[in-house]
Amino acid sequence: MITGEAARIKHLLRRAAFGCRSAEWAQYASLGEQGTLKALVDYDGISVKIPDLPTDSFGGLVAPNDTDSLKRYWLFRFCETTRPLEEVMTMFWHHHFATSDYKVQNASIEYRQNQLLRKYAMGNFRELLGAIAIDPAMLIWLDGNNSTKKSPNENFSRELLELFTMGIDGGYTEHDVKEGAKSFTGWSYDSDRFKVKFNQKNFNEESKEYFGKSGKFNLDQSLDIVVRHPSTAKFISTKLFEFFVHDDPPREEVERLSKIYFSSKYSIRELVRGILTSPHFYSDEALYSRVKWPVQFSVMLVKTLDVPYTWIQDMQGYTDNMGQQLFNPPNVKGWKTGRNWINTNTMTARLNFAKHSVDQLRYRQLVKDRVTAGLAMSHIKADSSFKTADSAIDDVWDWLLPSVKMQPETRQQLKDYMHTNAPKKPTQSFYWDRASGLVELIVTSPEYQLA
Amino acid sequence: MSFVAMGIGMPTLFMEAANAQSTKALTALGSQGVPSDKILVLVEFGGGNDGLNTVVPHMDPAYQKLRPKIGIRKQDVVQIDANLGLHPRLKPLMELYDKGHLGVVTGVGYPNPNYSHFESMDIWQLADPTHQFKERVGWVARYFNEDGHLKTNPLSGLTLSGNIPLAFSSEDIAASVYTQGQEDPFASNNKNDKEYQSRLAARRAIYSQGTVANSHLDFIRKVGQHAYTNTAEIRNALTSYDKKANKAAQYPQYNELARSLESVAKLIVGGLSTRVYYVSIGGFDTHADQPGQHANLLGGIANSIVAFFKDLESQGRDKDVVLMSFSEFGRRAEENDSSGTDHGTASVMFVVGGSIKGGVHGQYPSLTDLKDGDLKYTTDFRRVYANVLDKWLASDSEKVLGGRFEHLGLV
Repeated sequence: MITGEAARIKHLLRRAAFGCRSAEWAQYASLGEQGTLKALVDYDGISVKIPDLPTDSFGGLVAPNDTDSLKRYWLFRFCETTRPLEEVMTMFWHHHFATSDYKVQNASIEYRQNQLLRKYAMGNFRELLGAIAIDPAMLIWLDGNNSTKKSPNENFSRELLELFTMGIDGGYTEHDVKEGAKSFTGWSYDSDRFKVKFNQKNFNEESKEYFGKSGKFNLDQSLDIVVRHPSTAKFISTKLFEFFVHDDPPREEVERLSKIYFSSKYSIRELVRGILTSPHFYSDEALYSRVKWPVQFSVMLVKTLDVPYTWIQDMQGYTDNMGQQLFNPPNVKGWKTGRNWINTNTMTARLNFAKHSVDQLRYRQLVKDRVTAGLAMSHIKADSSFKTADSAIDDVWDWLLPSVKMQPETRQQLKDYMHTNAPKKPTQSFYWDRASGLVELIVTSPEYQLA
Repeated sequence: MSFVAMGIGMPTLFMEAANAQSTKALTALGSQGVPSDKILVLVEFGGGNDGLNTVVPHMDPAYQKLRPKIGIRKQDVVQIDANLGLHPRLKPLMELYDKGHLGVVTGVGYPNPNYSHFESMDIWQLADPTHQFKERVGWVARYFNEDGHLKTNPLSGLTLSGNIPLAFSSEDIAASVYTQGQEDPFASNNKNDKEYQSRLAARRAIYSQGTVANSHLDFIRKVGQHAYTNTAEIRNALTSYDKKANKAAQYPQYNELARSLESVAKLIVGGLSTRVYYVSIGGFDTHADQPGQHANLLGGIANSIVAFFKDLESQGRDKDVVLMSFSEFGRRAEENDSSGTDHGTASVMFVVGGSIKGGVHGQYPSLTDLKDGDLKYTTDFRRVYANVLDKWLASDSEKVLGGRFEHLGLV
């Protein structure tokens, strides 16, 4: 069990907010654990200063083909928002209803989907499902747009059950996939008018047999059947638990969350609250058990070090190289997470971005009294013989990796570094170098890859 | 809790200069007395490639009935035998086919087909349709594990597809990922910057110390070290390729597969110790508007493969490389109303190389004897794997695949 209020709040922030800036930390610390949780979860009353992107009267973006700009916009939002959990959950749903630019190839409707996911991020799951089913990007991505009455396209129908609601072992059959496809016909996206429409003439009006029930089901009726299925409750609860807590949800916990799913009438907010207040969330098993997602890694770094977003010139390029291209997940199942985030290539990108972020602080005179010179230097400077470098190491470590026990070897390596080539009369710039070097070594450490 | 002491066990981290030599040493140490310069290149066609329109049974009247809109017309196919023809955009491959360097395996699948992209792809990557293996260790990783030298070399398997594929996955992570153009966070060009050098030395030391075995941290440390040693080895290989670089091979431009295969050719010629390369190309999930998309994909594939082998040939390595393509499944025999095809079963594999036995292998599935509208597979894909494992990689397929599978005579 994680003990101590500060440690618990920091754990909560790592998972549900991707860290925080130093000014925000002061606020959260004064709110306390309950207050912080409430501020994160019940964010509707908190205003967001980040404007939406301008679109024309049809919903088109200024640069309709530029997905990289969209990525930059979203990363900016992640770094600057006053409702961090809103963005975290928007990312969760982007991963869940993974829709990819390589097929959609239209930034305007990708942005529209992003707004939809943000709108329902903590909303009602049934409403989210209904909205995403007829979202333009989804209609293109899973071929609803090409489905016909006579030959209903199975793509959406299958992924709805396999990936969006019940899970591969949820108890559906090939027959359900085929029958469901019929009920989803009639919807299409008119790209000339940027409008989704339902055409009764294209709708398959036959009676369908779906999960043992018969009727002339339409999209809403089929989604009602799916959303009420116990497998859906279990699947969504499990996936959210794994995202926030750890990979091994106990059966009773999934049952408890499934009950919340039904009793709250599919409220995502209540499910998330249930998870973030669960003792499992604060268990030792959960603590630093997650490999940071690339977006989490880079956003947390930027926020923790208080790097101005505009300085991180290619945050988007780095996160792409870390294996998470926003708006372009590898396939409809989303990203492969956990250890799959880590390979020789993505590790290189992670370390380079961390180095790059610290370099920004090191080279810009403006912040020399901020991170690099603030916390670390006050200790180093206290005694130019470097006897106090050790306490600087502990302080910076606790700031960047709270609740992580430093290995003795690591402490020795950091100590050696602090003393290597130290001049007899250290200059101011030497202090800055060593202070920022200490930060760099910790944010490029294996430990910092976990949250 | 067990600890591994890697500070002493991983001296390579500090031995950049020795890397070129260690590469050669690893290359020489093949298993069971087999020439160790035999290389396998796996090519994933992601999304489910439509075998019926790739290798077309154009003489079968049932074909046009199933595919009235998207079928390839008889006069357009590139004939390879009395009954079968390649998709017109695969025409460049005939150069390889005529030399006997292109093997076409038809009707490839497995029992109880799975229609999920992910489940079916896992089946191919694990080579385990019957779920007989308890651990999720990929078939290539199991092959590496059979061989001590491959098991310990992180470059035994190298993927250019962004992520480690399940085929390469195991606890021992004898696999790496390569993309061009990233800075190396463990190395420095700036030998005079003492501060920079001190940080690098500290970072290397932090990554090389021991930690709790099998923990995430242990895994991350190992990968971090591999990132360092690999970059040095890959740089060496690319340097030695550049001297012999050949310009005759015309790789298609702006093509994902071409770029990957060109890099693979460089690394092979440069003498990297990699035994199995993995590259991928996506976009085969043609539920709608299939003809144009599929044609573009196949055209790019044909030109890329031809350029790849030309490149290797001009540098004397084409006989040391076998390329094998696969996809998670084929597509429904009957086209749908969106000018596309839904998820199906059996498909085709290409096996290409200067040392293989080309031609058509396996029996084409019947177009009239379908099961729920799907082709019945005629060749278990594990027979192709077994053939390559035993005869090309000199492994023991029975151990790797957990059973004996009859060879097809491809290698």
